[in-house]
Amino acid sequence: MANPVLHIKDGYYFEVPKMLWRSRNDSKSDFPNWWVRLDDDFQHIEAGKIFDKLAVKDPFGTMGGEQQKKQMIADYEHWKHSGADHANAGKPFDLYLQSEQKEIFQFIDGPQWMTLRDNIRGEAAIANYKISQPDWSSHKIDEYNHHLHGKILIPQPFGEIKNLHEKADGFCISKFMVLELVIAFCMVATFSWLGRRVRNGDRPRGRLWNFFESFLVFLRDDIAYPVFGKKDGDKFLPLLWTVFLFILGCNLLGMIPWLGAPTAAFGVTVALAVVILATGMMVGSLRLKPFFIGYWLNLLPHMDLPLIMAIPIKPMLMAIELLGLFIKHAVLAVRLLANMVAGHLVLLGIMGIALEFASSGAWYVAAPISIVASTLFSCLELFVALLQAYVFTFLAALFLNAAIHRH
Amino acid sequence: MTVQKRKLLQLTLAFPLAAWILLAAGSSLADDHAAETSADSHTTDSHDAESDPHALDNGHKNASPSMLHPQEFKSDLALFTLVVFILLLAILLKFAWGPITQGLEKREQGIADQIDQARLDAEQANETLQKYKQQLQDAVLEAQQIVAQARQDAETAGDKIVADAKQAAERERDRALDAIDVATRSALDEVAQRGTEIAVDLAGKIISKELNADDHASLIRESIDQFASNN
Repeated sequence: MANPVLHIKDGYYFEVPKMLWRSRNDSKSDFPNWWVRLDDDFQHIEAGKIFDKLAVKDPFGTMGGEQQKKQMIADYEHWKHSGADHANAGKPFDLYLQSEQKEIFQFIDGPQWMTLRDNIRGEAAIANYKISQPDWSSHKIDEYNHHLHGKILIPQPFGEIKNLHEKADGFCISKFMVLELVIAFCMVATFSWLGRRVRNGDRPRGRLWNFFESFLVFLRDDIAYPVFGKKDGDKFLPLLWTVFLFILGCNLLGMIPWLGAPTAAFGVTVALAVVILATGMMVGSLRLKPFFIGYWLNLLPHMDLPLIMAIPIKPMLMAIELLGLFIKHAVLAVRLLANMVAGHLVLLGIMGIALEFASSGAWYVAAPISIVASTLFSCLELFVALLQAYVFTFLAALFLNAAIHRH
Repeated sequence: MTVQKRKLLQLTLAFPLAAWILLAAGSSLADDHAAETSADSHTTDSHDAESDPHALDNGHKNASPSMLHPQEFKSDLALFTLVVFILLLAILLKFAWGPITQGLEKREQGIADQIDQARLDAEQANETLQKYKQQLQDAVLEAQQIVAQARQDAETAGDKIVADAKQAAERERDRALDAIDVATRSALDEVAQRGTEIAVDLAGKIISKELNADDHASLIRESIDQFASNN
């Protein structure tokens, strides 16, 4: 089994129970290119090609004989399986050279290596490998299929992935990106529907209408108006609404089996914090006089200092305040990430109790304990999902308010 | 169906479901274990790599160290999130937040207007009520006054009637008394005259002497005086 942390992290596939999604590849040409690139047989051939190319470039002629080639490739294959926690598993020959035989890899310069890499690992090379080389053993194909069961790979029209969790190049569509789009779509559908209802100022009718409206009115009356006051509150309300509901949606997706919480990825929370920071900077720069620099001057607390003291102290304070500005927004991102990751890790641990005993008799004792415990903890997670969305929105409102008002 | 019954049904459905999910998970994991064990024992393939149970799980190979870090920062995901968020904000601003803000304000304005209107109506109603109460009170007072006046008028009229009646009766009585008086007097006069005439006749007869007119007159006078003093 792969590292359990990978269950929480973003990836380029959706994981469902193996029985629901079967991988039915019959020969090596049915497997995706990235999978072939990680195949030991392919990498063995690839290593030979790289060695040959480097041997030609070798200025000292030390990479001559067939014997040395065999030895080096054997060393490489040993290295691949030697790393702690499979750290070197599936690494191509060039990475081996880069980390273990640096002087040899320097025989070839950057652009030359790029060309060579395309030649040995590019799409054409893979296609060629699929046709020209003998097919993998049926045992291997079965094993490969077994590992691909239950993994719905996301099509990648704009880039190529390196493995299930990392991209090789281009723009790759990940699970969290798909989930973000799902949340965005749901929000647009739900709230434009609500908008059509509320538009006329009629009284709210029906459960759904009341349900969604209560969220919006709560955010307005308990965050926006108390923090900004009525006038500015109305201006920032759309941003706060969107932030809260987007984060809440992302958090709650983590509670649905086989999906995941996009807010458990640093990229997502950082992007949201950047939105808040940038909004504060923009609105603050436009509002505080003198135009544009008013915002930065506003970072400094007001002090009655004689000039001689102000010259050394104010720049130092400015540096500290600037640092503080970025740190508090970074903490905004880290808080949300840490809460989501921590909750999911604990759930994973509780589920792990059952999985640990999966093939032993103790499983029948461990499983019920695990079910009850994970049910209870899921309730807590639901609360945390709501709470963290609220905390993020509330702090965002406070930071924005600090950015646009003189203090 | 009562609430308890429904809950019981839900529980009886939920437990087998949960058990089934766990059994399924367990069996698929058992499959994993079996596969790994078989991979363990399988050493016929060309490389000794295949003795490693993870050797054929290409999905996690060639990993960067950061792949296992939960705090890994992926710039493409961050950029994608930024774009999605800003687009979402723009779309929602147009199709949701605009109409919703507008609607909420309209509703609040409507409620405020209705409350104002209700307050105004209540004030007006109160005023009208006070006016009617006053009018009712006035009417009661007026009625009492009218009744009192009527009673007084009636009493006055009654008194007058009684007084008139008394006066009339008195007048009647006085007239009657006068009449009686006159009648009595005339009767007495007549009686006296007749009595005198009879007496004179009688006396003439008795004395059979003719009396002259003077004697006659003095005799009458003496008789009347006598009569009057006898009376």
